[in-house]
Amino acid sequence: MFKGNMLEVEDLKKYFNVGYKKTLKAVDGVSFKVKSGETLGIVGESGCGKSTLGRTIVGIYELTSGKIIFKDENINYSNKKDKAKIGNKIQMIFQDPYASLNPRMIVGDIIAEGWDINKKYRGNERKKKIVEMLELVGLNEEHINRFPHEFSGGQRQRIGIGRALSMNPELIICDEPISSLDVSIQAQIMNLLLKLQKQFGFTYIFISHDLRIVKYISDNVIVIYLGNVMEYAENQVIYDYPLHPYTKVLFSAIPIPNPDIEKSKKTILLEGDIPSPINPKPGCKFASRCPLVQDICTKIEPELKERKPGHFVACHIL
Amino acid sequence: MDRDIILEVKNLNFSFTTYAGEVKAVRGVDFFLRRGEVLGIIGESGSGKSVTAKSITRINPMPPGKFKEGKIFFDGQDITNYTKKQMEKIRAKKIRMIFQDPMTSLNPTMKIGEQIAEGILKAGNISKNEAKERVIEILNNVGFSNPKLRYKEYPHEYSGGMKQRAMIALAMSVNPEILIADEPTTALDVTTQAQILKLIKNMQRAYNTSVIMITHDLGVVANIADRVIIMYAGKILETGMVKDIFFEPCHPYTWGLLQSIPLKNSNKEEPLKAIKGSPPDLFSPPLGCPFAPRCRYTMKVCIKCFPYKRKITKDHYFYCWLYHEKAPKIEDIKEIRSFITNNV
Amino acid sequence: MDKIKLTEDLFVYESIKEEAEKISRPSLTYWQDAFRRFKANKVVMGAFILLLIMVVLAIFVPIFSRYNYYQQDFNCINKWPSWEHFFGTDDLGRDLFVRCWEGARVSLFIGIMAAFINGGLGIIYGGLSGFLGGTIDMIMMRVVEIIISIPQLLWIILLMLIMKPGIWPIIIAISATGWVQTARIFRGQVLQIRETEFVMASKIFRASNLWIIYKHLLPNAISPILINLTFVIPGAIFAEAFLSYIGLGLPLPMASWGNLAAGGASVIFIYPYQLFFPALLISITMLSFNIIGDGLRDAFDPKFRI
Repeated sequence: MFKGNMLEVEDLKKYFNVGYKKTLKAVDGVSFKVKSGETLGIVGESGCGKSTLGRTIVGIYELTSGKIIFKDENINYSNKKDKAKIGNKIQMIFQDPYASLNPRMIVGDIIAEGWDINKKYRGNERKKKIVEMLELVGLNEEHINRFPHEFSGGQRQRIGIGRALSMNPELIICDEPISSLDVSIQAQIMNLLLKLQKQFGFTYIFISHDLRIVKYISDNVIVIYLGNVMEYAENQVIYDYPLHPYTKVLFSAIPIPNPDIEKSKKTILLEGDIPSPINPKPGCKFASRCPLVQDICTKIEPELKERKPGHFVACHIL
Repeated sequence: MDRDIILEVKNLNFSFTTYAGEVKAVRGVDFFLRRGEVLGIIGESGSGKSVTAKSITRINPMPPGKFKEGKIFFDGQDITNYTKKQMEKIRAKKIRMIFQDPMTSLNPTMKIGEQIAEGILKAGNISKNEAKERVIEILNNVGFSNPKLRYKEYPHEYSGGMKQRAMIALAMSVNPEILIADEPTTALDVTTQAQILKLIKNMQRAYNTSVIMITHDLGVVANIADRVIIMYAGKILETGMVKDIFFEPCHPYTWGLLQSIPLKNSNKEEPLKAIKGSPPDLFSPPLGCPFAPRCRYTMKVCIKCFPYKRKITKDHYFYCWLYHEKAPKIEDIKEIRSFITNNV
Repeated sequence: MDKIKLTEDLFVYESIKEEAEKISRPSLTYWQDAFRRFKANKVVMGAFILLLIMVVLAIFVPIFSRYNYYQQDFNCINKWPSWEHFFGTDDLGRDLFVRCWEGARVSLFIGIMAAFINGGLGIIYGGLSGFLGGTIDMIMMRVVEIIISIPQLLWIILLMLIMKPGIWPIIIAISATGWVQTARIFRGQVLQIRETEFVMASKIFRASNLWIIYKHLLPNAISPILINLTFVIPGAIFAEAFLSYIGLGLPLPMASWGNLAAGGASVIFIYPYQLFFPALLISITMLSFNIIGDGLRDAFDPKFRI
């Protein structure tokens, strides 16, 4: 088992060209490390770039600048040799169980796609492996010849997880894997993901906007806003002692299923909406809505600094 | 009839005819709504919560929908058999709805201000200028800082949160008696959701509107609801004041829902108490309790027959055989309850 | 609601043996499901059966008829429909019934071939354009736009002026510019499907472009193309008829609905039946294909599937 940092990301940037002189800065300088076997939670609201970040790490998008270092080796996805070296060690689980499975393929073929592309198993052995994979995620043999539309959301997500696991990955990026599911099914899928992590030692990067779930599953947490890391700390630390103003706002906004607490708490409300990531203004991305904003915030972008051991914050005010 | 009650639904049965048969979406639902209160309806997909709400204002597509049975009373009047025109009047002024997707209510080709004004003019006898003033006033009330400017804009110029506010403004502009909100914050970010929930609460207080809030998020319900209904597979399983549901829940499904949320201090070493299985197929809903296949305490009687109503207080009642005198005692009821309340 | 007797033995724990993950409904592929919906639409099925009958007649009438389509008989010139000649005869004594069904063979053949070539070219062009994207896509689409700027009928006429009259020249003339519509539709589908998550998953597995096209793009993009092609066929039949009217159609004594109708039009006030029957067959066929096209569109687009 690999010990050390499974993944290191250094100042990663992903920009999209969306028109004449218009650049969408989806990921604008993100850095973090994930240790082997751990779970990193990435939290943020819509448009913050967390999905783009996940897709850039797995190679679907080509990065604009920065480094992706997998198991101490720099990866360049446009380089064929690098690509071959990574093989299928980094995998992804997608958010929408209705869009992540080809509606015209039977479940058996969906699970076996990785093997078929790489010409791995055939005939009876292939069938055996498919059944193994299905049973691993809580389904069974009778589902092999069925189509995705015959399954519920939770079952489809299981199929997606089975597909991701098929090539024995080491790092799995979970891009909002439970957001589209019913509450009672979310817990089932969370348990499955954790069981698999215990069994196989996967490293997870868990992207979500649901803070409760991220808190439950992560070892470390990153809070992202408009493509930048605002705060990065150990799980318990960031929830008990958040330092960044955005983190504090975010955490206070989650509705807690306890009417006494919920009805009496004073939520910090933000004005307005999330600004556009196209041609962002200089300075701190959160300046336009920050309750503690000062002059310097609109001019200079704050660096991610270690304020306490293991606790990084990007803010001028503190 | 209790003068306090503004809406009463009795034995609502609603189905959809599809190629594969009849989908019994709502199967015998009874509930009421008091003046000025916020009623939360919690349910997962297939529970029938949306269909129930849309049946009240009769906006379910019929066909393929079919109103099979039941009565709906609004402010003492039986509106079950109202004509299309009469229902239109009700939807125009008395019972308004907001949805998850604001674009279902907003016309993309009209200025926002004009749309809202149109609704006000339709509902009552006021002049065009007065209507415009009212619109600007309500745009201000929903939190737009420059209402005169916002009046002239089109929906595509608004962000997601702003569209939601515009939809609320549109709904509240005629001062309705009931506001039905069908998952209005599900698609919103947490911070925007907090804003919208606060807004709905403020509007509700200011206009003394009665609100039905449909959601699957227990946190939202804890935040905004006074009373709660829990629906599953077309039936109500438990209902009570919000404190009853969160601190003294009686039905195993309610326990399951509350327990499947990660608790305050839980970490990944302890698996979540998930409810096994999936919601049932509504083509052939079971005779007995629909939750039976997934319940930890299923008995023979649960499979054969839907439970009788069991009252704890006037407002807190549920449908479960576990509390019947002939049923075996559940050892850990108190434990389950205290586990939930201490850790939520 | 029936009230059952609540006896002691009912209050005993019983876990339901039913599999939690069981699926009770029979498995239907996308095509089976669409076909089922197609079958349920009575008007569409009527049109489909009508077309089948026409195809059968087109195949068998010229074989079993006692007349040949080019057989002339100067004793039976311009005879009205009778038991001898169901559709009457023309000015050379040829039996119009057999000529109509011989013409059916020709017109349907032209229509179907045009659809095939149209479809093939359209899929390849549109697929490449959509899949490769970027500058290549831009250039390819500009070419398409230039082609579209000239009405298709004009293209067909110009091409027929260059080529000698015959079945294949007509087919080529019709498909030469007809494929652009198919290409645009397919490109649109490709662009859409390229962005789906299941294609992304394939890319993570390092699938080749060919794999993605074959496994993911084609199966999912094919239905709008099929619908489009059912509308191409009547268009081609009409184009052939039009060419015959302006003298660029098939040469006599070949029979096609087009030249039969054109011939009949010149004597419409004297022998109206000579125009009536070919025109009727053209109309029925075009209407049937259009209805089937609509039916396919509804069948492939489930609005209320639970």
